[in-house]
Amino acid sequence: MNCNDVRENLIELLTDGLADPQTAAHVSQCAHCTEELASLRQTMALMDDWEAPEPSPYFLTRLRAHVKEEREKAPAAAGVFNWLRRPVLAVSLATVLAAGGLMYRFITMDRPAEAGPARWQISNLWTRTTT
Amino acid sequence: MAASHVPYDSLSDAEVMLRAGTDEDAAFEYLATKYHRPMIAFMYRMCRNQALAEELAQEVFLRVYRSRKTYAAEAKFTTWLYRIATNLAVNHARDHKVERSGKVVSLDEPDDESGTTLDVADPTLNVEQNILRRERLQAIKKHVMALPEKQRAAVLMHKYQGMDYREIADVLKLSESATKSLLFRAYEALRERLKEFV
Ligand SMILES: [Zn+2]
Repeated sequence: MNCNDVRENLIELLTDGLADPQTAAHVSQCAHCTEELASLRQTMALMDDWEAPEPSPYFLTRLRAHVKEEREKAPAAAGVFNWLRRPVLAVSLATVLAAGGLMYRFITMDRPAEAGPARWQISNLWTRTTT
Repeated sequence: MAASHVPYDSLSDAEVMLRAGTDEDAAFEYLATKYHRPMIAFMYRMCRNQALAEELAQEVFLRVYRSRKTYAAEAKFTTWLYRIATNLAVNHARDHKVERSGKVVSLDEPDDESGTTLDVADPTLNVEQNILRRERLQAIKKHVMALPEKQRAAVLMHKYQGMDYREIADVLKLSESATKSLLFRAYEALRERLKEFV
């Protein structure tokens, strides 16, 4: 095995340490690949700095409101009143109402996105950019 | 859990999703609660904007809800979830491409469009160290954002969502070897571009 044969296995070697034994054997004897492995390890460690924010406390409340809207669009569904009777949801709805205009704005903002199915499927997703 | 008395965490996510498909509301609620945090984080790193990330994550779960009766459990639930999310994030980015490309992204830029103050100064560092830390963070974001969509999605799933090659390959409908190659190219590009910070 030469360097090119093992390069693509380096990430696996770093993340789960279970890349094939030949890769590990090559790297242990190759200064260049050892260096590249160390450098990739540093890059991945560097990326740990990027933290994601906490979800807003209203995220699930808003989702429940959206789901409720969705259900009301399809009145055939039987469980609407059960859903409404759930104490958790009652509290949540109260929170939504309390949040007033802001929530209303968020909810209406979402509407255009709800029209129609996804235009892209993952199977053809990438063809447009691959040149 | 009123409907069944079976604790959802004793079932696979796919089984819980099938229950959601029978209008067992608590089943959908369970999945949304379990996955909203990682989903928002994924969307945030896909679009670098917290408010938008939450909007897109709302839409992901709504699409899950709308598809609850047709969910076939052919793939893992999370594979399906992240496929919906990736499609949505990429479509959104394409729809707003003009807007974005007109924007000059530089390391001097205060932060992403969200205006959030996520990058608060670390009190254990001095001023210079904090400036460096901030520049480093901006560079990470900028260069991840600059990756081609497929590479970006793959790297984010691998690095931050803890997904393995097999699952990333399933999400992107690629072979495992294509995924391996894709991830290597992405990390290699980041290694090259972030060299000065390591
Ligand atoms: Zn080598």
